[in-house]
Amino acid sequence: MSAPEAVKVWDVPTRLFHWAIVFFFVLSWRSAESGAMDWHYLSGLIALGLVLFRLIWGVIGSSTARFTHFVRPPGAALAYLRGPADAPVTTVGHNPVGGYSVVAMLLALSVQVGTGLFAVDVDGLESGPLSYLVSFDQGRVAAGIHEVSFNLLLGLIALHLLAIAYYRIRRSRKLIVPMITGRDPQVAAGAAGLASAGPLRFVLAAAAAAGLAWWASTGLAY
Amino acid sequence: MRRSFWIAPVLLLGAAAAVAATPADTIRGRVAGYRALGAAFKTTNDTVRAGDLASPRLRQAAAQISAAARNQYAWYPAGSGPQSRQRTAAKAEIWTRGREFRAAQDAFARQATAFERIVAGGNAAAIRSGARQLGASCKGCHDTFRVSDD
Repeated sequence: MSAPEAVKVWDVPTRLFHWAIVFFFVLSWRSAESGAMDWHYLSGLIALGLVLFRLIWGVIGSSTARFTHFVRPPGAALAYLRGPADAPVTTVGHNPVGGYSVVAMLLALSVQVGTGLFAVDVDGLESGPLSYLVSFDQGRVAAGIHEVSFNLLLGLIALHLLAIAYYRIRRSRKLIVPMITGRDPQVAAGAAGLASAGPLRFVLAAAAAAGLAWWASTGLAY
Repeated sequence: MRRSFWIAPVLLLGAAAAVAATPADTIRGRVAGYRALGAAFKTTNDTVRAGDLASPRLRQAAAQISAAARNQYAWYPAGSGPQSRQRTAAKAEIWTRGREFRAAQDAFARQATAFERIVAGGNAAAIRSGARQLGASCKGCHDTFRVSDD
């Protein structure tokens, strides 16, 4: 609001997803550490819904949220890395390197919530809603992958925060504020802003994601 | 159904062998025993969650748990703890606080026997609460006598 002329870069659903997944990642982590497994299931299922929503939004969402917008050939990423650090920002959305970071993050999150559905704890007492489809040993493998992908996520998050700090310190780019307000005053005026997907698509994507997550929580009951 | 009849003797035989075995063998046998117990618990939870309370799988799992609960008394011979330098989640407290550990084993054995009876009775609410209590008796012991996070 402070800079109404700033170019719009992230839509509301993308920003909501971002901060919600931060919250539920931390909640899932802490609840697992403290053994509050009821909370862990609830938090994990919401995270599943969020990830499903983001994957759908990556296909039908606003321009900067789409995979076609930010998944670029590796050559583009290399060219971006070799380019001048002080080049003016004339395009909105993820840069070609950041796009790969989003892909890695979403992949790791998908593995995380996916394996959680099938995971079984060492005692066979706690288990995900789809674990009845696999054996005890297979459920233990899922739990093992669940742990590996969690550590991978911690690494990716650390990299994410380091990249934000790097942009702030070395390139004077403020990346956190646009993820809150949706607008980026540092993008050159006149740059083509975000093309919004509109509320109807959002409702459809959210309903599909929530429905799928709920269905998974029932053990795919029909 | 028939499978449950040989499970007890096999576990018993394994436990008997463990007494005469090296610490490494004992620990391997113990881990195998608990893996089978974990699998039986998973079956219990799967069938209870699905509302499949008359399932022969549930009866079989309850029989397996109850057999393991009887056999576990032989799973902890002296020298099979952390001092054996083998990788084990068994804490030294099992032997230093032997009386307490024995009481925890008795509690589990009691719960397991009761649960087998409850399953045979076929009352849904009783089976659900019995499964919860049985799980709680496991956790009660693990908190004190097992290395966490494994």
